Amino acid sequence: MTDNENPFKLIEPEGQVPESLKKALVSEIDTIRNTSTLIDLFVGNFINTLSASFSGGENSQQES
Amino acid sequence: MNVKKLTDEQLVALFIDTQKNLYFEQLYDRYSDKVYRKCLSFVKDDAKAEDFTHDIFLKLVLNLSSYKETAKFSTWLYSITYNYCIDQTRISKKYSEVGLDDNFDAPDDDDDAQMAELEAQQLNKAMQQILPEEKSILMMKYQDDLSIKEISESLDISESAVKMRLLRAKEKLRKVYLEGVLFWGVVIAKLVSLFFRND
Repeated sequence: MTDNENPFKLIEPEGQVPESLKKALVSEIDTIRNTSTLIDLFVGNFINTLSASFSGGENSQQES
Repeated sequence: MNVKKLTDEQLVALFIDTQKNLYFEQLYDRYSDKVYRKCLSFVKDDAKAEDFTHDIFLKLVLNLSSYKETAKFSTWLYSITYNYCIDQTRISKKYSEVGLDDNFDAPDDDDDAQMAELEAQQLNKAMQQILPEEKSILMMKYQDDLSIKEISESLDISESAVKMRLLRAKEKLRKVYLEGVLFWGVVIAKLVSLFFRND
């Protein structure tokens, strides 16, 4: 069965997705990526700060 | 590097590695219209089809790392599309609201091309009467030309289950299609008999 004879191909709707959707998607992906980077940095730095403060506390106790 | 010459799979790998939008945009340019049209055949509403396309591509980006190159990228994307459309259609249950009466058109011309068009139109109307799961499996097979193996991989069911579902979907489609034709046959016969009775 050729594409012209295949009724399933004939019923495929025609239409094009508007250009604005691409821009919206790309900016949304950027937002998701930036948010994820921000969370990574915050969580990473928060844990580092916590561990540094604890180890700093232990060192000062040992010195005293 | 010319991104247009890269395969879909290469674009996916590059996007995961570099996170550059350029590779995603290329994939989007290749498939956005196809995905949009598939959504349109489920919802028949431009705005809803746009929303669906947006959500599907967002889902695609978020799940891109789980893509395995054992399947073609297009097959994987279409399976996301169909699953999303099935879920959304099931939620809205719009498919059950379409009545037979106002959806089947009677053929009224002998022109072959127009007849083929009418048959396609009737098939289109019949497709709105069946369940979204049945519709999607028929579209995979006859619109996207996917093999039984590819359908079984994208739906995560066995090949024999695909064959069985296809058979059932075809039977149901044929039944709905014939009901539509029969409905209009009866209407035309009634009209003709009324016309001759008045004469």
